[in-house]
Amino acid sequence: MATSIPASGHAAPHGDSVDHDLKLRRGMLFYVLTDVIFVIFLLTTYVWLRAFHGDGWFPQGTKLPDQQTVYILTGLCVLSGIFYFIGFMGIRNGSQATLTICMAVATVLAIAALSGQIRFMGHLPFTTGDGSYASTYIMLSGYHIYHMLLGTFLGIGVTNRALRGRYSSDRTSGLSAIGYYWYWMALTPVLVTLMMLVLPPNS
Amino acid sequence: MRKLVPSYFAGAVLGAIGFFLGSQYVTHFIGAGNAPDGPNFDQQGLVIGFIGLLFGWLLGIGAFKYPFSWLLAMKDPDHEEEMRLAGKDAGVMRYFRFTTDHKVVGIQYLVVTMLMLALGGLGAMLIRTELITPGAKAFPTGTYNTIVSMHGMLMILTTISFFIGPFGNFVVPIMIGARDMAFPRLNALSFALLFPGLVIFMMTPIFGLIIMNGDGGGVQTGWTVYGTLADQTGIGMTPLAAGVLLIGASSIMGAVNLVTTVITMRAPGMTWTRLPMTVWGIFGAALLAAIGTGAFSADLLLILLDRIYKTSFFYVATGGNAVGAGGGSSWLSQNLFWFFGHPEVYLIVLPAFGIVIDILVVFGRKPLFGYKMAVLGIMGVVVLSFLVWAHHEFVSGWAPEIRPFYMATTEMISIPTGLVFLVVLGTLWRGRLWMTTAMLFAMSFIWNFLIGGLTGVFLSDVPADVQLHGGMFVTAHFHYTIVGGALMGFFAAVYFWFPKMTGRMLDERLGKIHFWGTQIGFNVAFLAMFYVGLQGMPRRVADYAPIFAPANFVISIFAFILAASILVFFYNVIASWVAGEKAVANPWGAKSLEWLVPTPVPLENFEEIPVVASGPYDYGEPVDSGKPIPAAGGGSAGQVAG
Ligand SMILES: [Cu+2]
Repeated sequence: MATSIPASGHAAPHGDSVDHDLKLRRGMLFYVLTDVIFVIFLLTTYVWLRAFHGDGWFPQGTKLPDQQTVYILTGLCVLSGIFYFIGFMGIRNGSQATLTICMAVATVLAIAALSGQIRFMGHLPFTTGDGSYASTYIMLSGYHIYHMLLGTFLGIGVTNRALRGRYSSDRTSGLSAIGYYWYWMALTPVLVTLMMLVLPPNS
Repeated sequence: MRKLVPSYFAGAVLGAIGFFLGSQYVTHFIGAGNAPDGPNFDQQGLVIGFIGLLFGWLLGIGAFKYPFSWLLAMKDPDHEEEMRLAGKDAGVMRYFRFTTDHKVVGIQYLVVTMLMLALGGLGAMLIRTELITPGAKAFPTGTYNTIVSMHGMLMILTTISFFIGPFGNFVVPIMIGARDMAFPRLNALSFALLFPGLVIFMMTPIFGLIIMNGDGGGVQTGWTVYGTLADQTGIGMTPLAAGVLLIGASSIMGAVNLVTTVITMRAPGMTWTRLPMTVWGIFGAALLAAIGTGAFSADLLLILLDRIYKTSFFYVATGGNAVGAGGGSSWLSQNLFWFFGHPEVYLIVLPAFGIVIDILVVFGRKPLFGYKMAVLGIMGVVVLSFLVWAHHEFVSGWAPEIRPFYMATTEMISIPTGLVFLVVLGTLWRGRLWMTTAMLFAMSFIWNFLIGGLTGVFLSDVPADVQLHGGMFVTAHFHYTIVGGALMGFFAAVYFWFPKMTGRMLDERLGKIHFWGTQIGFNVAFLAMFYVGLQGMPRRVADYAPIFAPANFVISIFAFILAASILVFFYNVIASWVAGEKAVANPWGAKSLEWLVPTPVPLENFEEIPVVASGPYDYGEPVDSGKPIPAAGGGSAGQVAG
């Protein structure tokens, strides 16, 4: 029997007593949780190598990446997260325009951060063979780029769907689910920057 | 022809093209050779080939259709389209394409895991052929090491998928009264990632031994792939790491899906205290998979980066023939690996706990003894299993001062495990036992896993472990936990649910032959292995001192008996599937929901979602076996005893 559950905006394909909004949000939450755990292990790698480092951690003559660029790229990500949140709160209060504009801005910011990051990675002052600090930096940034690629896909989709009025004040479950991912995506570069640059690596 | 696109056949063709284009890209289009201090282009080409394979495969099976129609904000699929995607009116073809029905995915997993079991078993037989007499004769030693590594890793992947794959998919949604998994497309995708992962994984012997470097090109690390060694071993390591990484992603997706399903999709009245123990066991395993797999994935990712881009995660040495700048840590790899590696053993065995308990209840015709105790036992294992991993590093030299802590936590884990044993024995106590093959295997789990568990307590003891760690005692202990736990549980589960999954009964006479062959072959072989272990025979070797020869001869012969009995099982499965006795809806007179729907199970499982009014273990009243409950077919159901 095909009862539709209006709150989710989808025809309910499976189950009659299932809260589809909750399902979507819980599922995304668990997914993001596994992603967080994976990143925790990548960061563990950083902490471990740094704590037990020898000469190979930061070989003499290694240069740090350009701090200013890193802060700008990180700022773009955070800003993108903030715009996503404003857009989400906007549609909660019934404003289609706020949603559409903010999602478009969030997506453009993410794309800017992504392309900036890729360009930046091409001009790093070290390569993968220059010790564990360089290795960890490139690995963490690479994973961030993967995050951003997936995020860009989601961002374009959300913006496009917002343009076509697929969301309303009582149809936001997809938005909040993707929001979990988006905020995590905006937070990761902050963690990476804090650990890799703000905390001086060669101390 | 239209039926073939999209399908797994189209996926295979596009995947092969993708692999070819990807792997040729680096060498032919960039034209780069292997510069001594640049990336390792052979292996980079291979990895790009794998990515090409993955995308070609996903394109061919049509996995991109929904994400892009979401992106373009096309019309949301209606119920009719969902049903087509779930395999409505697709006949047999639904098993060969991207199908969302959880029952189809369950069957796909069942077939593939049995195939993996056969391949891994072949590896075991090759190992025992080499070890039947002293002197390395059957294989060059590098090839032998590769076979050992492949056998280990393949069996681990098999046993991880054993329960979550076939039964987590087929049985769990029906057990909790749901129409499907929480995310049917994600579910289909989990399987669709397992398959190319396996193909990539199986390129290890092809590239490692045949095409590239002969004997030295395989994997010399064993299944633990310690980073420092994995960085330096032959090219076979690259497909192994990439394939397992992909399978890891698949199992994380499956785990997320299962956890969400159990939490949000239970039918009205299916409270947490009415869940069958099978669901608890698989739920616990899914939690372990979701948390633990990340550590191993990180380990494998760093190994790949070390190998291809000469990063310094695990490379320690500088100077001499060092690669990169050094600065890595070998213990980092060991810790990442075992943080996954120990919970992984419980991820394998926990579903077996639950399934064995359920089967004992059904064939003991008695209510479960101590439901809450069993749940406490399973969830206690989940929590504790993350606090014991360093017991694998007692002799590694890492942090000797914290060994007592890990010794204590490891011994502590026998407490929740003991609870489960108590439940099992209490359930059997004074029951009227119905000795089907499923029941026999469930009961064999008790003594086999008990031996595995008890020898584990010995090994958790630091002084004993220092003596035994490098020897065959550990190998025997490990096989008693995995074979005694997971494989016995798996056989029990297959004999139990085969009628529901395929609509045919497995042959009981062949089942008994399979059972006794397995018990005799397995127990004699591995008890003898404990014996040579105590005598001091080292593990991970292709050759051994003549003093161990008699016992090793016995081990090999009984290992072959074990293998022969499993061949009987495979024959039984195939023959019964084709022409076995037709199964009624509830041949065992069981009480959980999956037995109350008709066989074959209709597309959305329930005509109307049942309202559960009682637990799955309320035996004591007469059982009306074989009579379908109206909720399933008739559509008139209100209250159903679940
Ligand atoms: Cu362990």
